[in-house]
Amino acid sequence: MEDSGEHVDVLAVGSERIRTGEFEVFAAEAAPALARTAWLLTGDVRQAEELVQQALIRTYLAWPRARSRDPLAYARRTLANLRIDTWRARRREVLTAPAQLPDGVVASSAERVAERDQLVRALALLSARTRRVVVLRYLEGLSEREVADDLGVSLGTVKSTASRGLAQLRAALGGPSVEEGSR
Amino acid sequence: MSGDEEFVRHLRAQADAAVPAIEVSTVDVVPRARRRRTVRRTVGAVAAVAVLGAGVVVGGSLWGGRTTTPPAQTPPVTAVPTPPAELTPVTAERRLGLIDMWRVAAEGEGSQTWLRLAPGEATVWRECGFLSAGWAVGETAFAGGLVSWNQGCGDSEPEVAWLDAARWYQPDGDGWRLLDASGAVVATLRHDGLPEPHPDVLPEYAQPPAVDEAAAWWLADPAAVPDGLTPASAGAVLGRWEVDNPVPTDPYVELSADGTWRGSDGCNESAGRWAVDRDGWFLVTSGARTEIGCDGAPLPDLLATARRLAFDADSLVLLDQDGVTVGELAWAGGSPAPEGSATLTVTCTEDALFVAGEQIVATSTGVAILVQNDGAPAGTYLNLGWQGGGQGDELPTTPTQWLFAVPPGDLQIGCSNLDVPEDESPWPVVTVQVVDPEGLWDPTTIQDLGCAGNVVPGWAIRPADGKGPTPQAAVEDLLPAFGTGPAYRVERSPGGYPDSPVETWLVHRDGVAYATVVVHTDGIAGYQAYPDRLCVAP
Repeated sequence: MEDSGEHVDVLAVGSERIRTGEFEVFAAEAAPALARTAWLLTGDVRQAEELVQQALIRTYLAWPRARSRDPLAYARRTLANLRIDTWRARRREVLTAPAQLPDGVVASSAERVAERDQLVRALALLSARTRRVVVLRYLEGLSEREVADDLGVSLGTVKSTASRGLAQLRAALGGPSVEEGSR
Repeated sequence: MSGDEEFVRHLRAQADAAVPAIEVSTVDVVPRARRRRTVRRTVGAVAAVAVLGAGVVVGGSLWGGRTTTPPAQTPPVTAVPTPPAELTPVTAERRLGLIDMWRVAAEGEGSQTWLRLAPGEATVWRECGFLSAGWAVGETAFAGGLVSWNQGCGDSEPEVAWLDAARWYQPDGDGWRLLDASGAVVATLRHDGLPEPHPDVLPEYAQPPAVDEAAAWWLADPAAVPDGLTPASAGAVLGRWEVDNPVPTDPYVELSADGTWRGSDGCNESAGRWAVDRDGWFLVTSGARTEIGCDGAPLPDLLATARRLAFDADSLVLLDQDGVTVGELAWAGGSPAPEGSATLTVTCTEDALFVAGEQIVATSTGVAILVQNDGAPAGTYLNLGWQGGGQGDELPTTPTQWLFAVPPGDLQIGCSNLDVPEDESPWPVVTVQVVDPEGLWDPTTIQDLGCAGNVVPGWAIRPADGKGPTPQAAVEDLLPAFGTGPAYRVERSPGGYPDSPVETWLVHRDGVAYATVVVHTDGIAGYQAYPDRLCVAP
């Protein structure tokens, strides 16, 4: 039974290199989708960037486990649950009503900003838990089962929370707007 | 289409239009992950090295996984202390009893010494006058350090050895004991009179302080670490911490293993003492500092406000008495080894490995690692791997310093557990550098001495250890196990560190290099020798 130190070095460095290469490809592909989810959860670009970074860091650390199934799902689940950590840690809500639109902005950009603000304001009305369910279920289009798995809650909780959350959003946004809803 | 479906479609379209362009840089992810020191390599590979590669390096070898030296032989632990097992947690109500004027009995201290403990402020009364100090206590931990003194007590900082050395405290009748890192009593505090008032000091300082609401608040348990954060241990917070967004004036705080910290808000230097008690409970004192207006970040002030430390991913979260986050810091490098110490603190937890530093300085006895087990499952091993060798052993239940004969260069550190499949292992493998600035390491190998030396012993049953009052006597005591008849000669390999408590000896049989023998000492019962490698195929 023989071995040498070089053997180990090759093993460790080699697997590390492969892992990093695989992960970097994944991270580049997954980042935009994760950023969208993160922004919908936070309503804040900087926070969203940091959330994605944190989710990717954790995904990298768990890469063998993450890649063996669905790495994007793993990263998204991490991200959704991280949000809770940060909320709890910071003890303050990041979703606040955006400032009034400044005067004199050009119409197209103003509409876009207004739409963004409207959505952010509506999402901000939901509790963190409800918002996570609503974002994953409706805005990201996950199945109820996937949301339940991601958030570690029961299917029944997802159903009831999603339904309540949707009703709250509808009230906040004034129901399906005719011109948008029929698009 | 139902109303709900229609509304959801509308919502999704609105989201598509609303989500702004977000540039996420992914190039920092891997470096940040590595900075967390939780890079998972194949822990099993390192564990395998521990078995397969041992013995190539003279002075570092393995039998049955046990190669660590007995604690009795190791130098005193100077790194982050953990409480001696027999300490009793002191309740908040009982802690309130600390607020008083105490007569101090301590080695090197005059008979006319009192310690006045007021909330956030301690005063040491000596015959020369008074010294002002900061202090803090947890359930068992104590931190205290000098802030200022009156001129009668000297132009340079007076030494208060017992205060500097105190790491723990315990009730003692109606008084208290202060204990050092090893649990030895360094001072006792008793009710016994009052100091003479001093002309330069307000008279109230010569009286016991009031035990009031402020005192109760100051000594109360801080709010628990919020869910989702991981309470920090002392070993995990060593090193330099900065704000995440760089500031040109480089504000920082740095926590050293000798219980001191220093830092800067970018313009004003600060320093003090610190400790971490159970569940991230942070004890901190602050010294004097300048007050220059500064475009920096008040990190020292934030640190001084913190009552618990916790981790949120790779951020160190500072929490105040009420559990509110007052700051989040990013790790910015290892802690320099404290003077006279070259101990690396390694902590295996249930799902993480913390290594307090990136570098370890070898001493003449080898590489010292303070091994801490913070909730790791039973049967968890600490594994070390290096170029050409490796060692491992089951984690001790209490913090223990182990010595290893690790050559200068990369040292891989990992935890493993046979009940945890390799691909589910939560533990990373962390690489640190062993440096040998004094050139203590002798690279002579057993091959240099004529032993092919890369053969694991083939004997199925380990013979009884050789024992003796000297290493050579212990080796010779073992020789009959190799068979009687042949002529044996033994010599010590000069390889490794000169004062290592683990020696490697070479046994020549009938003039030919035959086997290596490892000799340990526990410093009490003499030396034990056991066979390690065969120089030739059996």
